Amino acid sequence: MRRELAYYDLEQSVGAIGSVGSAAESQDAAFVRRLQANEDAAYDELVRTYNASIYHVAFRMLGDPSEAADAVQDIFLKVFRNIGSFRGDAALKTWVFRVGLSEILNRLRWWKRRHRISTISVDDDHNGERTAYCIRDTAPSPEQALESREQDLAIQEALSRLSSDHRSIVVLRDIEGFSYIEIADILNISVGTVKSRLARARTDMKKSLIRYLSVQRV
Amino acid sequence: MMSASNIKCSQAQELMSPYIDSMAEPDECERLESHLEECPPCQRQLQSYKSLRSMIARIEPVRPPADLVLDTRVRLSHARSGNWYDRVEILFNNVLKPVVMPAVSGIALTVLSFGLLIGSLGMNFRTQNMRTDVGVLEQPVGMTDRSLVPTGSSVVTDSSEPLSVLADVGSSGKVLGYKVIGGVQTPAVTRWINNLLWPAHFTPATRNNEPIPSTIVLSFVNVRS
Repeated sequence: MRRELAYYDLEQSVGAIGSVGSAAESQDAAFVRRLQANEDAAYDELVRTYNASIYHVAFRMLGDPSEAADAVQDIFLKVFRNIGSFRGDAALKTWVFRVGLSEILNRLRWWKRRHRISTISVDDDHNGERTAYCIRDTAPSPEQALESREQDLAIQEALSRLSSDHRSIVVLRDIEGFSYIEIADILNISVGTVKSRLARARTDMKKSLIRYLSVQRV
Repeated sequence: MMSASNIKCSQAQELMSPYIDSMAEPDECERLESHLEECPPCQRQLQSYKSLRSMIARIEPVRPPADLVLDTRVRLSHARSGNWYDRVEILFNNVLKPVVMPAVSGIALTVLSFGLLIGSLGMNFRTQNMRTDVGVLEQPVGMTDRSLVPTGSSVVTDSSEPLSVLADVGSSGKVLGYKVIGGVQTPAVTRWINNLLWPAHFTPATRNNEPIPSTIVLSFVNVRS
C-alpha cells in the first residue's frame, strides 16, 4: 500500500513537472516563432534575457572584457542567422549557449594560434576600467570585499590555466549552473565525457585554489 | 589507503566530483560512502571539493558594459534589415579570417622571399644598357599674379562658407572659363570673381616643359563685403 502511494505521488510529481516542462516548451516554441518571424520585440527580449549571462560566460572563458563584449554581439548575430534552423530539439537557452560556446571556443582557438597571453591586473575591474571595488548590498567590510575580490581573481586565474574544454565545463556547471545533460547538449559531447572532464577540471582547480578552500579536520 | 569498500583513495577521489553533483551511479555512491566512513583524508578531500564548488558559485557576476545591449541591438537591427556588410563581416571573422589570413600571409611571405632572392641573384640584367622611361614630368599651374590675392577687392557676402571656383586655365595662362562649385553665389560675387579672374594670369601647367591647358580649383575663405 505504501509503495502504491509512493508510485502515485511520483506520478503526480512527474505529471506536474511534465506539465511545467511542456508549458515552458510551448512558450519557447512561441518565442522561437516570433524570432523566426523577425519580430523586433522578440529580438529585444532575446538580448535582454541572455545578454548578461552570455557576457558572463564569455568573460570567464576569454578573460578579457572587450573581447567578451565583441563575442556577445557576434553570438546574437549568429543566433539571428541560425534561428531558422532551430528545430526545438533542445531548449532555446541550451541552443543559444551552444551557439555562444561555439563562437567563444572559436575565438579561443584563434587567439591560441597567435600565442596570446592574457594578463589580469588586480587593479582592473571586469570592464577593464580602474575603479574602486563594487560594494554589494550586504555591505561587506573593506577586508571582506578585498578578500572576495582576491578570490574572484584567483578563480579567474585558475580558470585561465585550464584547457578551453575543461574551462567551458566548469563555467557552465559551477558558475552558470547548467545540468550535465544540458552541458552535454551545449558542447555536443556525452554525459560521461562531461562527468570525467568536470572531475579533472575540478581537481586542477582545487590544486590552484587550495589556499582558499576551508577544510576542517575531521 | 585501501578500505573494506575495496576502492582506493584515488578511485574514491575520481567519484567525488559526480558525487557532489548527485550524478554518481547508485553503486558508485555506495562504494564511495563506505570508503569515506573509514578514510578521514578522503573525507577532507570531499569537503574541499564541496568548498571549491561553493567558492566558484559565489563568484561575483560580471556586469556587461553599459552600452552592450544598445550596441548589440544596433548590430542586430542592421543584420535583420538585410545589411550585407554585417553578414560579410561575420563570415570573414568566423570562417575566412582563421583560414585565409594565415594562408595569404604565408603565400605573400613566400612570394616576397623568392622575389628578394631572385632579385639578389641579379638575373644578369645590365641596367646601364636598359632604356629607362623617366616618366612624364608635369608641373601644376602656378600663381604668380599678385592681383589674385584679393586684399583690396570687395564682395557683397558675409557667408562664412568658403567660396570655391573651378577654373579652366589655357596654355597661355589665361582663364578660359569658370564655374562656382561652392559658397554663396550672388550677382555681387559673380562680379567680384569676374573682376578677379578675367584679367588674371597664371603660370600654365606644363608637361615635359610644354605648357598645357588645365583645370584648377580656387578656394576663397573669409570673403566679406
